[in-house]
Amino acid sequence: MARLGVVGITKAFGTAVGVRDVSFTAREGEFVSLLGPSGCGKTTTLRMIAGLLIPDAGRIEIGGEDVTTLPPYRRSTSLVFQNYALFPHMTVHGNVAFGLRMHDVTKDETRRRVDDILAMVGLAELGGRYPRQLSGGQQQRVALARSLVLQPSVLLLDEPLSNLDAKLREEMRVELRLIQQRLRITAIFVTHDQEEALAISDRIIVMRSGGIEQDGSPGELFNRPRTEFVARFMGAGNVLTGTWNGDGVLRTQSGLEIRADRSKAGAAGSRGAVSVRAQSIRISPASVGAHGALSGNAAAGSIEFLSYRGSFWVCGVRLKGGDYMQVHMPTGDDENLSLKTGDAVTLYWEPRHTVPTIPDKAST
Amino acid sequence: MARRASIDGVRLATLCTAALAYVVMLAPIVAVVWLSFFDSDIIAVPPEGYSLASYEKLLGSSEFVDGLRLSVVVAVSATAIAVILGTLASIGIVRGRFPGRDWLATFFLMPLTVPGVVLGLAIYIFFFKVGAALGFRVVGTATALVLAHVVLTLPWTIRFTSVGLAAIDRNLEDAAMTLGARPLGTFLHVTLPLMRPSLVAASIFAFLTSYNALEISLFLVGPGRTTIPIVLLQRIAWNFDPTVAAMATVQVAISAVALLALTRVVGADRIFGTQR
Repeated sequence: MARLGVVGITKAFGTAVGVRDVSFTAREGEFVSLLGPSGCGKTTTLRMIAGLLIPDAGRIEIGGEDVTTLPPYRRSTSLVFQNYALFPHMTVHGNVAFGLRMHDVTKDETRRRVDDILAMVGLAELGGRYPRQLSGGQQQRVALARSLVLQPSVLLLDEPLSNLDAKLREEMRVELRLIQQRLRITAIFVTHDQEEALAISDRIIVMRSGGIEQDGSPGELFNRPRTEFVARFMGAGNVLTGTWNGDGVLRTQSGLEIRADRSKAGAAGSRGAVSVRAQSIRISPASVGAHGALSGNAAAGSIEFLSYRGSFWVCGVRLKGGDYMQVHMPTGDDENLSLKTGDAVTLYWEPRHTVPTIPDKAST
Repeated sequence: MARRASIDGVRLATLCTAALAYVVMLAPIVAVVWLSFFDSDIIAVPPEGYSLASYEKLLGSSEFVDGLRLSVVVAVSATAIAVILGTLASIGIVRGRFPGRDWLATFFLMPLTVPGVVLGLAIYIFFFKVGAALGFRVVGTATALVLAHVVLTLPWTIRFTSVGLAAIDRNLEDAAMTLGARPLGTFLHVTLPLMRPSLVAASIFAFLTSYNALEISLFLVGPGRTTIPIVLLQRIAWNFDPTVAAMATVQVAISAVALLALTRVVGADRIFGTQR
């Protein structure tokens, strides 16, 4: 329940850079996700906040106090591990009580607090069991309870849901978020799953190769990715690369011209990448002809792939020049789609839905 | 059908070989146990009769009782020291990050490569010099014997405890520390309890190694301070009577009980590393 400040932390492993000059803050009670592919430095950052690693440079503050070099047992953080790391030789009660025992809390208070927290995570009946007698989801709850019982200033979570099956993962996601909000606890959540990060966070920090790529609300990251990498990683939709012509138009290698708001477009001749959300695109059979403003984007192609997702259809369209775009069409009342694979279609979207991003150096 | 028959043939051959191996290994032990119940002073087959006379004689023999006591005291002391040192060494080898770690691990196992007699002689000369330099007797004391047996058993305890320690998830120790446990508390509450099977295995193995050690002790025992294997050896040099057989039977029984306990606690799979 305190503000966390991370200022320019850097950690190298041998010659490899693990984390490079990472800075961010988390407000009191804020749920912040560190999101990125494996090896991006998110877990290293978390372990530095926990005190399991000491940064080579930079500072970590909790509630205004500099804790950069304090050992883990002297800071008010608590870490939930990906594999839960429950003590196999202790019961559920023993596991949850462990931290209180280490902090010399009296027996009566320990019992009361352990019982309270086990009730909160729905394990009141299982205090006498050993971890090996529990399901994955139950072990997960014990790990969470073991950390929460200490009322940490900052709760750290290292991919805590990734070992659960999809349905349970979503349930635990909701539960975790509810508990975090009820306790108004500051949480740092490490994940490689962008959907999970979007669903659970107040704020998402996308990391890549040891640095921060973008820091913003889930909506900002999804709708306005700053870089091509973020756009691709968030899976917001269609990422296309090309060259800006100075008129607010990006021309792809295959000759497709994509119009963006002129104010946001790159300088003439510069390489660029744009993101167009799949939900922002309208699709209509080629025979119907153009509709909407002519100043908008129109791209002709044919349907290559259709997939029903309940509330929407995913429609993959191969454009004339060879580019590929995905469109999400709301299903509405009509469960039968009039379109079928192979149909010639035209895609429309407005320039304001073209989000210019900083292109990757590697991409063309 | 022919193929089936040949497979059965192979099985039969395997079984026969196994049976033969067991007979060759166990027959001498059975024979010794049998001899220990002979009711005579000299061994003659068939025996004149059976009795527990040789066991009674054993209990009345100060040579045997003192030897047994010294053997047990030395084995227990050497085991305790070797297990503690072995555990500490394992922590360094398994958890430490320093140059020469692998080299050190190999170095700790080196006593296994030196024949017991050579080791015993070397330790004898060393203790003799040390005693001369310090001005008191070292050779022939129980302390010298214990120290020599620590050298003998340490490779085993290091081996067992480091395997046990390496099997413990480091996240458990990290978790304990983030929950507020200091390094010592983490070791006592998490690492040590989880190492228990390997500690028990190391203890029993060290005890057996020390208790049955003959060659290394030869130079280090003193008059009136002799371990059981050496008492046995000296008796055989004089004459072979049912008392010697009884002595050997007691020896076998103690070792068997220890091994049985080891198997119960740790499981044969873990001892021989055959698990999956």
